[in-house]
Amino acid sequence: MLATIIRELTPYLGATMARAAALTNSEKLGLFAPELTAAQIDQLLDALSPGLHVFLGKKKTEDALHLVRRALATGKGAP
Amino acid sequence: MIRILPRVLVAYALASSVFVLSRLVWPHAPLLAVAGAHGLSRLVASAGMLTPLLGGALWALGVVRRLEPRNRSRPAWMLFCGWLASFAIGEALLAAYVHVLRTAPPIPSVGDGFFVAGYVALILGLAWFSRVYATSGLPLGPSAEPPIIAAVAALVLGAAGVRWLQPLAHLAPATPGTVLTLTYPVLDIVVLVPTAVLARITSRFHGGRVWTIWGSILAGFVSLAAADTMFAYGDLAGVAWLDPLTDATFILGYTLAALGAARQYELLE
Repeated sequence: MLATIIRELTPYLGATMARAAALTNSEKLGLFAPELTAAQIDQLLDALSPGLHVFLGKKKTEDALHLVRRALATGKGAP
Repeated sequence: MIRILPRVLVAYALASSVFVLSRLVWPHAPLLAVAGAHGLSRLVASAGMLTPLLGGALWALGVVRRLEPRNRSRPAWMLFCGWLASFAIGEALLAAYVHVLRTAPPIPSVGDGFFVAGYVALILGLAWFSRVYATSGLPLGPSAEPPIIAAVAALVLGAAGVRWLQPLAHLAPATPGTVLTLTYPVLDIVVLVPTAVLARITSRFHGGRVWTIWGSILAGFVSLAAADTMFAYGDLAGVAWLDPLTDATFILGYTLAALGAARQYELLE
């Protein structure tokens, strides 16, 4: 699931920052399980959102996070 | 149509630079021997600088309009837009002296007021970007890193500035024009301090669209610092052959800054 989030954010943030942002925030929230619940995913994406706003603006952040949710929902991402 | 404009700007900047640089690499070219060719070259240089400044100001204004009112980086983009617009007015006034009044612009001229105002907007804007980005909540390194980078950059660039510019200060009499000619490279050095901080912050986005925006903008600032330093050498040390290179470097710097604004504008679509 983290891999999906990282993959969807990479075009905007680059691979290194996308990975660092996803891992740092999941650690901060204590989310270590390989499979996250829907509530935990929302929690993680909410935590990522303010940082993305600064660089991408609110609308593009919402678009990017929508694509993450869709990829997770359709199971397009790696586990 | 809108998406193609940055490419058109790059092509225009390349063509302008090649034409301007032809004075340097092939000064006896038949085309340049035609009456009025020097004036045409100056006109191409003026247009080559003014166009990216105007385009960049419009793209930066578009960024401001696309960002939501409470976005923390919005004021910094306003200041960035103010820099480009102020420089565009300054360049237009200089061009009016050369191409309309057919006289060399005095130093200082009314255009210099806009350049100095533009620098103030730019320096404040870059400091704002640095602050907002460093505290964005993304993992951008230790909080002590930006001030340390700023301090080291100020020391290194300050020492380099003294080494490059001090000889020029002794070459020319201490007139307001000399002081102003040397003030621009000094202001560029001030600009390069937050540039170093932003280079470190945004290098962490390597490979992403955020990096392509800032890589372009920050490279533009380096070009402009080089151009202002060359202008000071050309003006105060009488190194006339530097003029075409100085013009081409200004065109490059303004074009890179404008492209950064264009990419941010596209990102917010």
